[in-house]
Amino acid sequence: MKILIAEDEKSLSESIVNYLQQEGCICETAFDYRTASAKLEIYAYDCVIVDISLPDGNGLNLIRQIKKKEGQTGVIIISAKNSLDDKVDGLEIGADDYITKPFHLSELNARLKALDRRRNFEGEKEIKINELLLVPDIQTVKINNQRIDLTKKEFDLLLFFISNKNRVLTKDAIAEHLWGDNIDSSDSFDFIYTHIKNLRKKLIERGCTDYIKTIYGMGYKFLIP
Amino acid sequence: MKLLRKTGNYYTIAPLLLFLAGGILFFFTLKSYINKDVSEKLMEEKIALENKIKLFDSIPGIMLALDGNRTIKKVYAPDSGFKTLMKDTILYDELESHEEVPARAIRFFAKSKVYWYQITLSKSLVESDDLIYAIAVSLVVLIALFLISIYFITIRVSKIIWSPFYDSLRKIKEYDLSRTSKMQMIPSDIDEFNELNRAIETMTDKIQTDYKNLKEFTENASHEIQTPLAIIQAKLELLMQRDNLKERDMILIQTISDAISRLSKLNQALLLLAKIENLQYRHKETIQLSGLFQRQIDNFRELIEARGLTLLTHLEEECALTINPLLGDILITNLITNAIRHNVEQGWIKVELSQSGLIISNTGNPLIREPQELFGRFRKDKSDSESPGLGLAIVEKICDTEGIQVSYTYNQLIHKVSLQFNSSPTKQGKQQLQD
Repeated sequence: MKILIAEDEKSLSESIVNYLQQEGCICETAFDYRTASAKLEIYAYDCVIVDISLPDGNGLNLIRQIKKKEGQTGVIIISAKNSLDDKVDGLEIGADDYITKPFHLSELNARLKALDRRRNFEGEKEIKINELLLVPDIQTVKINNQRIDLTKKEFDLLLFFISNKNRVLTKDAIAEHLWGDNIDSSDSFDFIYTHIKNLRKKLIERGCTDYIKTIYGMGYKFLIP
Repeated sequence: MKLLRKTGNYYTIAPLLLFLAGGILFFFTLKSYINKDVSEKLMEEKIALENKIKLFDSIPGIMLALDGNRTIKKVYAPDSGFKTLMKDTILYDELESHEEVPARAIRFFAKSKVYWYQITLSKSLVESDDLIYAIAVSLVVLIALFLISIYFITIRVSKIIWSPFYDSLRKIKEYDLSRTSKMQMIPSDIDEFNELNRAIETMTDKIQTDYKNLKEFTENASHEIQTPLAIIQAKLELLMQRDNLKERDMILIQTISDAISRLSKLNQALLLLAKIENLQYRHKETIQLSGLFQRQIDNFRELIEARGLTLLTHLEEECALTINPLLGDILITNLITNAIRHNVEQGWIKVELSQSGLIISNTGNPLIREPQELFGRFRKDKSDSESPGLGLAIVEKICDTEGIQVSYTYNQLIHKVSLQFNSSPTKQGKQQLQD
């Protein structure tokens, strides 16, 4: 994927680029409105990540500019937390998704992947990893073509892992992904531990390789060798 | 004591004492004048009688006739001298009251051509007493009426004069720092009151400005803190992805990550509180609470089950509430997570939602503090808990802003948070919580 990141905070922008590059994305950056606008004029991107609070211009206008162009460029807004207006305005103008600062990079990655799936109309929106097959739209998981039953949260969990395969995911990131950020990781500590255990069990029972690894002291990883 | 009453009292008691003193003085002066009058008459009678007697050798019989007011006695040369004596005595009134009455008498000695006579003349004091009595009574009545009218007039007039003051007083009492309207005082023609009003207006303006600055500062500070936090979090996450980390490195990173996470959540909560205070969530919509609740409950259902908690819900279909949607969401989520977080193994959560209000109760650990205290910021029952203790503070703030009355009760291991919708204005609710 070719991605433009319009974020004025350089460290943050760097971090995003770093993470996404490891996912195989081609990343370009713009640190202000003017640069972003210029780049959008010249190049085409699969997805644009826009920080609403750019210093020299309104991020919303960038979104408008993107939507005017032809093509199916996806837009994800970075906004301040608990700012309903930003969200609502952004989504109304045509942004596809929003994420609030501060966010986990794994979360941003998962959103990007979801956006990418939505944009691609050729073929079915399926994710195939060896014996695993996920169809997100209908929340179905098949192992070796046999359906298995997962609860909603278990499905979300598996999808999150797969979107961030081979990445270390902290319990915090997982908790926030599943329940938003009103929950403390301390609340969901047991739950995540228990459910990852259950999920693993369910997968292994049906003959799936045990991809989920515990990373001592930090979190979990969906490891595909 | 009330101002007007005190004024009225002073303006009445002082004259009362004056009148009392004056009245007594007047009474005695009058009495002495009237009695002096009687004495003078007696003296005149004496002189007239003396002159008459001088003409005779001896007093004719008719003059000696017994008369209550007059006694004449022939005496020989009095040994004690010819002194004239005037005194008050008692007389028997034969003519009118047939009673003993007070009287004044004069006893003197007069000489006819030949003989000496001792003569006593008396005069009843009753009439003069009656006169004095009548005068005194009228005077008392007059003064009483006067004082009573003064009292009420004083109160009435004071009321009118002080009314700008009472108006200012009322406005000060009603002043609410969180409402941003300016203080409007009624101008008056009394300099002192105008001065007072001016001082109050200046003071409240300054308070408003300071308060606003403080709120903005809080919000800006929190906002600025977000970015460095985001950077730290992002870099930590990248650090975690490295392959060559030793175990002890990983533990360190995790600890840092946890701390950053807590800091971040804390900052978010403070920022939210600041923004609500700054009235940034004024936009309201009418939303169906039951739908909102159901969505959140579904979201947390697995978590609730994983903890072995039983969930009992009683949600009425029609529960419309006009509220800021975002705040409504946060409110419900906070209540639910609170009930989950502070629960016990195999406990329960009960939700009762109706048009009039919401009650969410749950089993939990014994409460050490007073329930209402938990609404304060950073108040937690167990101080070592990881949450910053802002959940209920946010709940209270949202309820305060949206005109919902909220209370927290605890009884025998059961915690209950009750929300009342469509209640009276927020100020009362806030008062209740702070008392």
